[in-house]
Amino acid sequence: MDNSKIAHHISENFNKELEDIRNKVLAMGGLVEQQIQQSMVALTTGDMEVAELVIKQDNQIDALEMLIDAECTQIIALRQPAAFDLRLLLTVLSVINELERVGDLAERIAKLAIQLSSNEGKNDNYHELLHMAELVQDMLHSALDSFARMTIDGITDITGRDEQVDREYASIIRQLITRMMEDPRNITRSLDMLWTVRALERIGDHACYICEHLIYMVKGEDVRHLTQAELEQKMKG
Amino acid sequence: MNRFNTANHISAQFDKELESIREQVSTMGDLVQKQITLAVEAFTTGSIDLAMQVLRQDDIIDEFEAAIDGDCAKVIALRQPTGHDLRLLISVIKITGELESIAAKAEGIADITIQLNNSLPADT
Repeated sequence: MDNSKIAHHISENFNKELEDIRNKVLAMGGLVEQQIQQSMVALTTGDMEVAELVIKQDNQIDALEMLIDAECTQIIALRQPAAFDLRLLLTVLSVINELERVGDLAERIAKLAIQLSSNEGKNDNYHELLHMAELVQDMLHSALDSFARMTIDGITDITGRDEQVDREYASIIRQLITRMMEDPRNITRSLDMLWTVRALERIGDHACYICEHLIYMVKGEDVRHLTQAELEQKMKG
Repeated sequence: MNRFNTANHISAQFDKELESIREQVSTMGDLVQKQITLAVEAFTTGSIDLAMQVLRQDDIIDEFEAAIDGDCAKVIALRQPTGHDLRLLISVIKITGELESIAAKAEGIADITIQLNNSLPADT
């Protein structure tokens, strides 16, 4: 792994502390990715053991968040970092917050999977839902990969994918509404499916937020709340 | 109790910086509360005008978040606080994030209000 951005300090210990924080964030990210994957398996296969496992494992993500949070605060207090180091630590605080929320969304999907499996009429077509899940998982993975490499090259490619996620989200919602209007007996089930796609859509948003935090880390500029076009313009300039 | 301890530092300038951050968070909090009230009112009365007002004002909240976070990062870098002051500044950054999320929900309610009004059958 490229350590040039964090391994240049005179204090060997400080280098180690920063690297340790980065590794912990990546471990947390890996766990969150696994949770999303498992929650989708639970949903599509109706495997309740997997769903229960996802719900149980959410505690681990919360614990990691608190641990990393405390370590960051301690490093800021003891090392009094400035410039990139400080932005890195502040960014870690933001990134783990996003990851924790994504973890909650995976847990939400697992809970919905349990509800959906206990409910009559499994005539759902998971094809589009799975495609959307794949898209947001890719976005999150790319965002975490950028964090691992501490680079923002190609970051707008990641945030740009959110537009496709939003289009697929709107399309699935339209289909669900049609199904609910066709037959009111579909409503309960369709609503649970609706919460599921919404959770996936939110995961895509959080992946974008992580990208925005990374831009702050590397460039020191706050780029939140910009449109995709404005963001691309900014990254070119 | 004044958590911001804004009159306890040797540097009077540091006191002023914390006081300014405190005021900004307080203003942002008020704005967010108003947004929620306004959004719910827009929804319950079906007022598109109010909903549009909520959407317009969301930008102001985003600007507050960016400004406060920027100030906090600057104060941490320049003053190198420890202990209570550091925890306070980091808490502020987290709180502005929460407030922004709440405001985004108000924006969501306003969006839904507009969508719902546009999709009403013509004969009602």
